[in-house]
Amino acid sequence: MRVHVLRRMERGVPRVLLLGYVLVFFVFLLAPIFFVVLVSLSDAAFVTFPVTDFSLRWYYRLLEYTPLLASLWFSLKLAAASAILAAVIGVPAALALARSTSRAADVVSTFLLAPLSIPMILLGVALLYNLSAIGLGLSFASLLIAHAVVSIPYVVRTVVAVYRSIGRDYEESAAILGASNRQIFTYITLPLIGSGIFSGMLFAILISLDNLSLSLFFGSAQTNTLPVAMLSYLQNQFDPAIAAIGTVQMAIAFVVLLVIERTVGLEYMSSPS
Amino acid sequence: MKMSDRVQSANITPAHAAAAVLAQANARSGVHSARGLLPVLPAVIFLLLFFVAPLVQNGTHSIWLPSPEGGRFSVEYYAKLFSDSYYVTVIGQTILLSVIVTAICAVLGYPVAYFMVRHAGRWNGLIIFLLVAPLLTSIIMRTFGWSVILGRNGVLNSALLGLGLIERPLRLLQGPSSVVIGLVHVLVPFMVISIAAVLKGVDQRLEEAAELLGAGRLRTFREVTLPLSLDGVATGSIVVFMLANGSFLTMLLLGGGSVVTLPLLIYQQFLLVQNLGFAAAMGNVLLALAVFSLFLQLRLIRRQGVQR
Amino acid sequence: MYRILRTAWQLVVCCGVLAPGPALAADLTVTAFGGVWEKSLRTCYIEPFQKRTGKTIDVVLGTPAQWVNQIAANAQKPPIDVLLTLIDGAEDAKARGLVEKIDPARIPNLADVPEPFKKVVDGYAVATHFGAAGLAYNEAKIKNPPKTWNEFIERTLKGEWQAALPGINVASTTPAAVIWNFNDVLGGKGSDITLVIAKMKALRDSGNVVFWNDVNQFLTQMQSGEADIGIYWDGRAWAARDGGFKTLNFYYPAPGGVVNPTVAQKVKNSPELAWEFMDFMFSPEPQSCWAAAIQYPVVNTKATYKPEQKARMPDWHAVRWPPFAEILANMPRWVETWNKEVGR
Repeated sequence: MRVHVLRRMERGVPRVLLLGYVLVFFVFLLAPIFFVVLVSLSDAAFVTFPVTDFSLRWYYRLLEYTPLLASLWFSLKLAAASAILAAVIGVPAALALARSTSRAADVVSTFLLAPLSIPMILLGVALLYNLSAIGLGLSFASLLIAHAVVSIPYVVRTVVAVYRSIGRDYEESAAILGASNRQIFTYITLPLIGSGIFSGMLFAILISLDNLSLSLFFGSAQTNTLPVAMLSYLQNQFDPAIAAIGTVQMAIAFVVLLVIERTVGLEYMSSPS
Repeated sequence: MKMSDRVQSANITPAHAAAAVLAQANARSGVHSARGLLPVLPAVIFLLLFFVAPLVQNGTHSIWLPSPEGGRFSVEYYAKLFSDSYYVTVIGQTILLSVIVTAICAVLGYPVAYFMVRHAGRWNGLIIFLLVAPLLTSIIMRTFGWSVILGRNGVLNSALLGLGLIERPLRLLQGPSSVVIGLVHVLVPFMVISIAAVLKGVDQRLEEAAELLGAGRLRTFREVTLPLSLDGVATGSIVVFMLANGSFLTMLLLGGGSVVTLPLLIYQQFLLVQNLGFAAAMGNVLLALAVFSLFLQLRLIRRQGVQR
Repeated sequence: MYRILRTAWQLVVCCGVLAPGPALAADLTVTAFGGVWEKSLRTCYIEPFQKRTGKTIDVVLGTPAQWVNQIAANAQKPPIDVLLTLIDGAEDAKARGLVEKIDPARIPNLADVPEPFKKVVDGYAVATHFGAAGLAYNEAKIKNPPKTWNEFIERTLKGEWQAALPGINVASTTPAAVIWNFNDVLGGKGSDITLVIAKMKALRDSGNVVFWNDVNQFLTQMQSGEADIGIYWDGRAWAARDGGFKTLNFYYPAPGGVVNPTVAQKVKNSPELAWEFMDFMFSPEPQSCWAAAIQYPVVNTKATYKPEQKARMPDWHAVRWPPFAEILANMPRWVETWNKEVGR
């Protein structure tokens, strides 16, 4: 009996330590953000700390100074579209690469990951000239292509990692039991690599939303992303509207993740129990 | 046929049959040949058009320099980058910083991923949100937040002074430490999510089996869990390393210029000097270094690979 | 999962690609920095012009490096018609052959603009308004601020206060307001910056200087007490004071502030309407409106100002004009030297 209790404690203590560590970790992660949200509620006319008077006026300002919200909406559309495009192109490639043992696979793997390593400013400038030359100019399509180029590596990499670590057993069993390739893909492979696709697309969306260097060169009256609009805004004033738009972005992410959890379920990211 | 063969052929089990069927199927789809790589074509073509083409353009800019006569061929930029000790130091600093940040992220991030996958359950959505939220505020505001915390009269110094742990305020901003803190803060979510995605697929029954067989928790972790999730750590490391390699805003804003990396110099060329050729040369060097380290990492994974 | 992806893709395609595209582009496109600048541009220039002529004008937010590259990539059909930018962007645009020489005949209102503002960028641009760099300091901490630039440098070295100086990456500030300015007051000649580099190293090593690399960082440093005095721009300093930083004061040390004009350029291959708009930009009324909105002095001598603004304005005779073209020509060498020696 005593041994049993000790055993339970032995399990419990590490778990408590782990929980403690995770809490400290999140304090670290959220500390600067806390001040950002605080500042967004400030009544002062420019970003200052400590915050003495509170008001929502900077959120109202977002409604009247339309470029910030308009560019946020544009950024969200762009992020979603580029993530989807990257997934559509990248997932089949990842699946093929994960199972292949040929020499070419190594080379292709490195090639598909290479866009991660080019400084985005250079890619942006070069793509600007390229895409302008073929007539796409400053448009949603150009931005979509540019963002997809830097998103494909993420999707490929995460899907390959997850797919490789799963092993062939499930698919082989299904094949033995008579499932067609399409059925294997839809009912076995896809759910198993769900976490890989989810994380890859999540990375793609995050990179796209926060991307300044690449989007900088494609900004125009109709195609402006939030980071570029914010940079331009900050040239001449430093007021809590910037903190407010950041908080709005976080709120949107919260809502989206909540919706995903309620509909599709985020069990992609936790072990099947 | 020899007697042994006939005996063997009579002993065909269902497992053998299945393996034979699968081997045939695999051979048809060319898993062991390059033909199995057909699905990679869309991705490869897309990147050839929109990544390699601009890259080639960049390369041209770096060796075909403008001159009064129209243009001249020169590798002087590359020569400068590798012979001038200043630039060599900067290249070294870039790699070193990325390695340090990656290592810290891996160590700090793994426990969180483990917690997320094994213990969080319903709270998964919230954890993902909390991981992702810092990336959704602009870097200017994040920097402001850090200056409130790490500044001379900031929250951290006030707390440490108040507790009597230090006598004079720490000068954290404008130095390498705040750059590392800033980068880790932004990049560790990528590490956590990468690890979690793979860890999720690790069968818990394997761990339970190990413990039943007498292995302690630590040993189980070291010999069962960690190797099986290594692909996740590798993915996270690749992503974090690449992102750290290419970042310059954090160095600019949090480091006060104390840490100079290659992307920062490239940014300078655009902003101050407008010398596209030099910028392109630096970009190509950065690209080459990154691709090389990428290749190394992939080879490493393959050798440790979870090929079954 | 597949169904979700497909629906999402359909949603995105219909919202994104079918969004209003270039087909609805305006008659003219001008550039602007964001925030109060863009709002004021619309109020003072764009809306009145649209009302008067019935033409539509689009505004592109961004930064000069972006605009110049966009024009260069589409030189035959530029996405921008009137470029409102800072001097370094303007010099770059001229060097790449993207803008036309300003034709005074097409902009009659230039008759009321003083010569120095028309001579910038070799006549390929005209200044619309200007600001000057000086010293911003915290009145509560510093009771007798330095009277000259040299005094500022020396007393910082002695450790009388913590100073905030712009690092090399602040494009529109450091080359002129620090490198050329300090070199000039220290007695340096032309492109030889050994004197100022030596001083910068001394300042860096003195422990009395923090460097800012983003124009808003200066305000954060002043507020949090990391710095008590530093080089900054008049307009932004006054805006900060009006916005709540009550103890921030600003002035131009002798021999004078360092001017930095904002200029307008007409892009090649842009419509003739651009000249009309530029002429409108330089007429007294819109210029007065602009001055009141962004709190910078404008170039038209007939413009009127509010009394409290007039008190703060630099006299355009008294500001010092850095040799912008020379500075830009020296940039590659100066940047490299600064990086290697000062490294901030």
